Amino acid sequence: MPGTDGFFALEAREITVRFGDRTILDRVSLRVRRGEVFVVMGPSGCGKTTLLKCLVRLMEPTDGAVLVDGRDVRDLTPAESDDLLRATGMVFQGGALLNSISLRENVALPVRAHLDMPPGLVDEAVRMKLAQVGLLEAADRMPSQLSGGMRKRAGIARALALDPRLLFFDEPTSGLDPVTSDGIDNLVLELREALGATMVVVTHDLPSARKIADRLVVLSRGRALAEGTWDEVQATRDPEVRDFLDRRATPEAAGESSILGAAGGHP
Amino acid sequence: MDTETVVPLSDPLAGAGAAAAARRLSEALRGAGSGAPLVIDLGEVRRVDSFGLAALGEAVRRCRAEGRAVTVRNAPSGAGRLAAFLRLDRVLAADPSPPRSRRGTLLEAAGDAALFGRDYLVTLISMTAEGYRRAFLDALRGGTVAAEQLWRQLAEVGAGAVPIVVLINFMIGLILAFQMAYVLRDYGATIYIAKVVGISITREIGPLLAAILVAGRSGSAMAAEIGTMVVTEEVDALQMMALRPRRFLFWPRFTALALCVPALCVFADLAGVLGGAAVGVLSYGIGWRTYYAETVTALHVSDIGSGLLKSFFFGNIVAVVGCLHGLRLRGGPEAVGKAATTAVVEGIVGVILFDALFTALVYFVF
Repeated sequence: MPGTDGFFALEAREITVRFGDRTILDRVSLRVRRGEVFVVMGPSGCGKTTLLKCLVRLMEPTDGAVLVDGRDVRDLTPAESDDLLRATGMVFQGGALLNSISLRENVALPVRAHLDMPPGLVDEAVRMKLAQVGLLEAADRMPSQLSGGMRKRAGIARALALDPRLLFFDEPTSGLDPVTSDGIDNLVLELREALGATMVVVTHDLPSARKIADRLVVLSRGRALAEGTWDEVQATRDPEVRDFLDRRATPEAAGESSILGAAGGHP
Repeated sequence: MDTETVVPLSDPLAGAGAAAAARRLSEALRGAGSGAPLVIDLGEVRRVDSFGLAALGEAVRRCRAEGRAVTVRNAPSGAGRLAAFLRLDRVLAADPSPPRSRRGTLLEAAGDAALFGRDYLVTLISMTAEGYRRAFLDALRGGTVAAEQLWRQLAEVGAGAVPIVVLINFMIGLILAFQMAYVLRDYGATIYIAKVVGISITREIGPLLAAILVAGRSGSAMAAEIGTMVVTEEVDALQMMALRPRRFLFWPRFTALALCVPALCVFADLAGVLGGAAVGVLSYGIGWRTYYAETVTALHVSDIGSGLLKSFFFGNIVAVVGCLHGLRLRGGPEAVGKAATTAVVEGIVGVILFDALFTALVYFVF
């Protein structure tokens, strides 16, 4: 079910990344449908972040292509490329706020730089984005005065500043307590409803992936092992996928042991 | 007074359309009679983005401030969803004006500054005292970790600065000689170049330039390096490893600078005198031997000694100021740049201030 024009919102074709003789990604392909939440999952060091960097063009893959709305991003003119960047939001792991300006100014920056809006309107829009992530009261604080969870939410507010149609999240729930994580998950789902944006979420957080993913891909040691809905991935017999999913369910990983039980995928 | 003003907005209420809508609404508000209810009609609107919503929000906020009734009519369902998602009601309920920072009277500010200045001076003095009391002894006693730190600092601050100190002072020696010769040759006294250059370099310019170069090179680096360590919690980590941060970070730097600045001063003196000699010999035909003899007779041990003594204190000042601004850094990465800048500025000002006091004292007392 690609978009009405027959194209996927985002497509990766046989992405390969090598550093010297180390292969980080080995012919990884994926297709993200318009308006869905697509989760890239896998253990630490499996190449998730590298894949994300290739998808948002912070990094050039050694081999393979990234297509947005059916067009190879390498064929875009500089102007089209800028338009695509403006329509893309990225939420970095630590928020990546500019430290020298206040939270309000951080969120207003892309708006003031790219859109010709009267200042009052920018203010109002910034207040809405901040209210959206529950940071309206903290608007005038500096980034160093925010907690880790607040910085993450502030990063989301900034990524939302230009009403993106493509939104990327790098580990949105890592380092957060379960309640705050759940809040971020709800936010992602709300975003899908309200904005109709296409979202790609990189995470190793199984409960979060299960909650938000329309479809997901499991990555291990640089290869895409399984792609599909949560249930389809759960049903995969690929030993490496099972390995990843089951290892987390072993009693040694005490904190996580209940997760797969709750997911109903436990054998 | 009760006739309502209807403002129909056109599609799309998004992007540039939102900015246009905001202008239309504010014009309509100006034109409408005071107190006349405002009706915003979205009948034609199909697409709304958050800026369109912001335009509505701004109009609603202004109407409420004026005590004017406002209604939005025929909103498309998407707008309602977006408004709920963006918590529009909460935004409108909140106070729009950013909280002002509390402003005291001028007197209060002056008082605060005076208190801060006193505390700051006390800290500087107590840190210097700590350097004398603890750092030198600690360096003598050694211990692997402390020794490693000291060697690293000696190499970076001392050896690393030799080329630039030699270059700059050689050039200054040249310049000084030329400028002096400009005056002296009218009296046929170019032979005095040796004396003038020798004394001004060893008594004043050598130590001062060495200290200023070290403040620029190393004072800033100390503040930035230690400040970054504060931001990334490395200083806290040292504390938890029972490596007292002051001992680990401040003492080796204090010792290193107390040793390096006088050592660099020796290089500065030599290079400066050599620069003067180059001009004297090559441009004014004074023989090498004569120039050397003139310099040696002109210079007393006290000239060189007072320069070296000064540069020892200069080193103390640069180290204390640099380390203090690193260690007292509060806030995030943005504060690191400021700390480095402050360290250089205060280091140089401190050195010159001390120099002025020292020179005046020596002049009047001895």
